[in-house]
Amino acid sequence: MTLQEFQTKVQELQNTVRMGSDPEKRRYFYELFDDLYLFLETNDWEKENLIEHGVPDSQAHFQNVAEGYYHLGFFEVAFYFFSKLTYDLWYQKVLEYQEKHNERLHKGTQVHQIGIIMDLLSDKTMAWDYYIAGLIEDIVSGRKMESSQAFRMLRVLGMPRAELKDLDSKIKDAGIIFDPLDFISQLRQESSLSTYAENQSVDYNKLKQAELLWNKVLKEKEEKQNDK
Amino acid sequence: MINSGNLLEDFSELFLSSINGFIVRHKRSWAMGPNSKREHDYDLLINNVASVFSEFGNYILIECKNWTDNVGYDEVAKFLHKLHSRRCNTGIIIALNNVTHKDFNPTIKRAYDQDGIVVIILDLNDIEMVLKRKINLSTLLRKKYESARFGFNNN
Repeated sequence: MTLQEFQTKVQELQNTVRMGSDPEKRRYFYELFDDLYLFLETNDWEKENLIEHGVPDSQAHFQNVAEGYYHLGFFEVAFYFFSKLTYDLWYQKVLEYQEKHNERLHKGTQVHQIGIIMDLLSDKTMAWDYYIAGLIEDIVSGRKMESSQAFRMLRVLGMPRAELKDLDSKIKDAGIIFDPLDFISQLRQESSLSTYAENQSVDYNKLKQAELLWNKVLKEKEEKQNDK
Repeated sequence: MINSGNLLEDFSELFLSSINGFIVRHKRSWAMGPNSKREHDYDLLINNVASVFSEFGNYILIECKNWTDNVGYDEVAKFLHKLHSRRCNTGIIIALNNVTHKDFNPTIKRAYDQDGIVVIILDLNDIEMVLKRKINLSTLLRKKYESARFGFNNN
């Protein structure tokens, strides 16, 4: 996404905002973009401007603007799209940095926040994949799977623990992953990483009943083999 | 005493109907053979109303195989004939043994190329993976369907 494309999308979204009558929120809304535009026009895309900041930091333009719009989303849904757009741009700029410097940067916030936004907008399919991307980022950065926020969100959406464990080992086997979304696509081609729709299509209560019967089937098979 | 064929069929019924939209309509059908002898036809008939599996067709025949020996080519060929005569696009064989899929891949691929019929084999290993929640059943079925139809080697 170029700066021009980004600005065009922002202008398109602005037409959908109804908050104009509230001067305080309106001011906040425009100030956020003033900040971001200034940053986009003057920054040099150095690491300091692209990494996540744990504490408030004036260099964290993307983070501040995206979070600002995310909070405005509580008042008006349209702002979630502004927030997502900012996280998208941040993510893409980090990918460009990685390509140029052959250095991986952590992108957990971007992908996880996009997951949350899509979840709030009821696009569970996209949220599912972005949470998986968040999990990948956390594991590649050395965090334990169970301590990742993405792990909890995927559990809430219904991904079985065993599938998550399997995913954990696949991520660890892969080593450095520069682009988690690309890795997801690769996993879907090479193995059996489920989609949200596929996961939702299974009734796990029935599967549990089947499991109980399966044990009987195996027992009988064993008895038959012993009789032979 | 429950006979082993029925136990595997009962399991398959529960296992496959765990997919929302797979409705078991009929269990164990018999057909008349050429010498007026009753012959086994199919074990389960599934009415497929699952939108994620629209490609599978409206009806899916299921055959449960309590094989103790290796699966033969004849078994697959016979099943293909049953699917063809019932105008079913998809059939699933549930096998109690591990099956080497690559032995059947050319036959299965040919069945799709010639008649548009897809045969999916779920063996012991596949079933265990699903029951241990390592693979999602829908994902596995989709993967196997694509493998049979397009010849991917990713079973």
